[in-house]
Amino acid sequence: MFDELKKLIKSESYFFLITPAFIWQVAFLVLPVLFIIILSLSSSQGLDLVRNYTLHNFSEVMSMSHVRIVMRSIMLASCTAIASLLLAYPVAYFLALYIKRYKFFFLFLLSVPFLINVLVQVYAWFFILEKNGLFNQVLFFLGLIKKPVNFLNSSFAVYLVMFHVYLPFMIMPLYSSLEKIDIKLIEASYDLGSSFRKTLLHIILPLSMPGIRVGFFLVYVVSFGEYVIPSLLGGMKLFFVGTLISEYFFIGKDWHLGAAFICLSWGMLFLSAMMYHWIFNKIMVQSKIIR
Amino acid sequence: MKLKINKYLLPLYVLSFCLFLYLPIMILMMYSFNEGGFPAEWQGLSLRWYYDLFESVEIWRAFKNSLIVAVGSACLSLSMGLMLVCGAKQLKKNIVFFFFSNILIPDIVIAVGMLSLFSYFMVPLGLITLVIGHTLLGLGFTIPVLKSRLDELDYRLVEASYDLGASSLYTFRYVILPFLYPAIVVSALMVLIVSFDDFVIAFFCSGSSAQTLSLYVFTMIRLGISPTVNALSTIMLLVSSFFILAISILQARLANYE
Amino acid sequence: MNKKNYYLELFLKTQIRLSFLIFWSGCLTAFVLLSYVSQNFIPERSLSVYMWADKIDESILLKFEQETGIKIYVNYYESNEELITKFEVSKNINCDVMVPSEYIIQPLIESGFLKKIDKSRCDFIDRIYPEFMNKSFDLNNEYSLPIYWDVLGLGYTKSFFKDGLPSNSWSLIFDEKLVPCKEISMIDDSREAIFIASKYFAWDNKKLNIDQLNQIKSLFIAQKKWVGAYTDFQQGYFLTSKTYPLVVSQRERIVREMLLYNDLAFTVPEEGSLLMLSNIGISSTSKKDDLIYQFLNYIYRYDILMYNSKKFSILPCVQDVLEKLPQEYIGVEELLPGQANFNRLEIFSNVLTQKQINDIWIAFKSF
Repeated sequence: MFDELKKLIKSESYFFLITPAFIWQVAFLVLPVLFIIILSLSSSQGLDLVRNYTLHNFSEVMSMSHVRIVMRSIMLASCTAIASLLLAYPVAYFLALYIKRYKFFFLFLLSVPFLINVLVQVYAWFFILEKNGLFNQVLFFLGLIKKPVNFLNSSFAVYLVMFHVYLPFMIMPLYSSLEKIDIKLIEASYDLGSSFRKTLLHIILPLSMPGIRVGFFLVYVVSFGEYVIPSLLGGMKLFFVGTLISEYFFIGKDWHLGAAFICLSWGMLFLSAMMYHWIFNKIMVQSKIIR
Repeated sequence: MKLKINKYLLPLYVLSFCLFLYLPIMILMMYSFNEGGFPAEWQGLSLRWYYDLFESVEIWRAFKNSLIVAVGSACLSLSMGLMLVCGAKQLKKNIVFFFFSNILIPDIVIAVGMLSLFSYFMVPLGLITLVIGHTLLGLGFTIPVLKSRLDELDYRLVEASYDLGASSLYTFRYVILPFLYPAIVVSALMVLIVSFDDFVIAFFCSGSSAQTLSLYVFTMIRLGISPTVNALSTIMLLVSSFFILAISILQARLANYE
Repeated sequence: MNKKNYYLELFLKTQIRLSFLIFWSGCLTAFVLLSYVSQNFIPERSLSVYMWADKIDESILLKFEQETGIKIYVNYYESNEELITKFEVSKNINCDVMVPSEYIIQPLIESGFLKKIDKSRCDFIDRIYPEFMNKSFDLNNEYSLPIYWDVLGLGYTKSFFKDGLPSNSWSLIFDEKLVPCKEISMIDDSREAIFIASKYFAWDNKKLNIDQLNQIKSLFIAQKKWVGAYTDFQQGYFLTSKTYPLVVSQRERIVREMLLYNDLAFTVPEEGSLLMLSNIGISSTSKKDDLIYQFLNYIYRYDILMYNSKKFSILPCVQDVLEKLPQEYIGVEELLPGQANFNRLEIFSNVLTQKQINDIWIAFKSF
């Protein structure tokens, strides 16, 4: 009897092993997200956060000002994703298909900015963008401006630094999918007489599509909720999704509206991601037709 | 003529790209050796700000907190990740996908959710809650890395070990674990870096009783620019690069073994 | 028979899985409960003080420890809302003394977080200016005593305004035709901004109706055109780096830079401005009364208060210290209680709900 029990326990040992991570996941990821949804649906004061179910919060949050803020974040995220995609693709191509030696060196070079603290990078940009900083000095030297221009506390600064910070995020997925392309296909294309441009458009680009999609959506989703860069470099003139959430939770003290806003903004993010997904599919289909 | 330009176009582009990536950091490092405060021009080489840095009590306290949280979350996420990956091996279903959301879901949503959860259950915010948050992030890193490494293990070795009469524990200790060492080290380093660099979760989930390095830098930036932060940033940079170098070398070695 | 075995096996399996689950959940809860444990390791002869980040010098606390043997643990907070949230979240928070701003005293009292102050044990009450006592938020100063005060006003660089500011009025920042420079910086605090807007319109800020609030909202939206940045911290930096020649700021931030740069100046507009008081409060959960009053008497002491005020350029509410404070630390003429500039100052009582404030602030920032 005991032996059988022991055998049974042993066969279930895998459950013992996988449980802690799952419990952790459920308790600290699933539960908080559920909690936010519940918060957004309730509206009571103080610490009884989950009573009085109502849709009132959502109606409040669907106002023009909130939607405008979400659209602004979507705009920022889209520009960042598209710009970094366009500019990182040649670099990924260089890494994967152009150089044969020193790959390790270049990979290392391009991973270092990826894991540097965001705050440190923002701080570094202060030095370049402020009135006595590098930008102004260079422009002055080139004679393009007469008086120092204030680059900080502007949308320009926010867009520029977002682009700079998220660029490395884009390189990795692109590189890994470009690397997987069978080089024989490319060689075959050249052997058959195609020019570089044709090879690029018809062979390399479509084959690297998985990497493009992963990179694009990674940058898009993550840069949507960005808090640090808009808050430090935007002069707090405009609210983005991240800064507004922080305002609701820390200063405005209205957690219900904050939770409802989170639901709203991520709903809109999801919708826009679907739209981009559809656009990507269309492009894929189009390119197949051309081929 | 056209060919020549084309030949150098791409490398030139990549070079300027790298320059753009590294520009702010180089300037930051340069100014950390500047004698004068900000916003001053170059006033001579000096390690003055580094001395200030080492004397500042606040920074050491923040560093200590960051270290505790990083090591704690690395240990936790490593052990739980290891257990999960080994257990999942026997399950034959791919449950790793469940953990990808840790990195995909924006940290601000996780942070805010955890904040509300902790407040509701009246858990005091502090180092422990921070460790919890970072472990969650860490799980998203350790599990994929460990899983991909474990997949490369030739299971016949494990079967051979069982056939020769070894117990499960013995097999684990002497067959599976040594094979996983590189992946363990890599994922541990990744979690350490992510924990040190994390700002959003610390901002929302630690109040201000547990000041971490990122929070400290944030406060200094809001108050204006102080060159001690430059010195601190340079050091953080060098440490991160060192870690990444270690990771890269390890991964290169891994690739060589195959 | 087989079916019976099958169900038995299933039952056992579920039992085993359940016990595993309970085991791990128990571990998890124990881990989470660890965060409560850390709160209990507090030495007896110590005080936990909650303060603003730049209002107290560490050397003062060390000196106190040397004199009395009581160790001070300081916790910082960035905003008053953060302070009250901390109290709401953990009922047994380890706090003895706190230094909240005046507008949060009322909510703190109503939520029961403050304990009555035994004034007989404070030897500094008579030295406090009567103008700072018995304010509307705590009528008989039962729960709070003022320690530092400050004003809102306009900071500017003298080299940009060679003939001085065109006028000493809030219209310089609110009226499009009167803004003297291309861009200014504005404060990022919703309450304070609404107050000075009401001063600009010359309304009674104790009664603001919906129309007036909407007008304020439109004013903020219009003002955005010439605001370079909203900040509560960087005004001094903006002036010294010549980013903006005119800033709206607390006096304290400007005077700190004024001590190092001659080019800066500060003024309190004629329409009047906001009086901000930092007050001492004793937490209701605290049981270390003796130590607390020792600490309070210490920080109100003449030499300590004078040192702290000079170090951070803050203004004390105590008469003998303020009168002896050198003018360069005050920064504005005629600012002492009873004098011209002081009489223009007012406290902003909590007449608006958080929701009304939020509505205005979020609406205009979303443009």
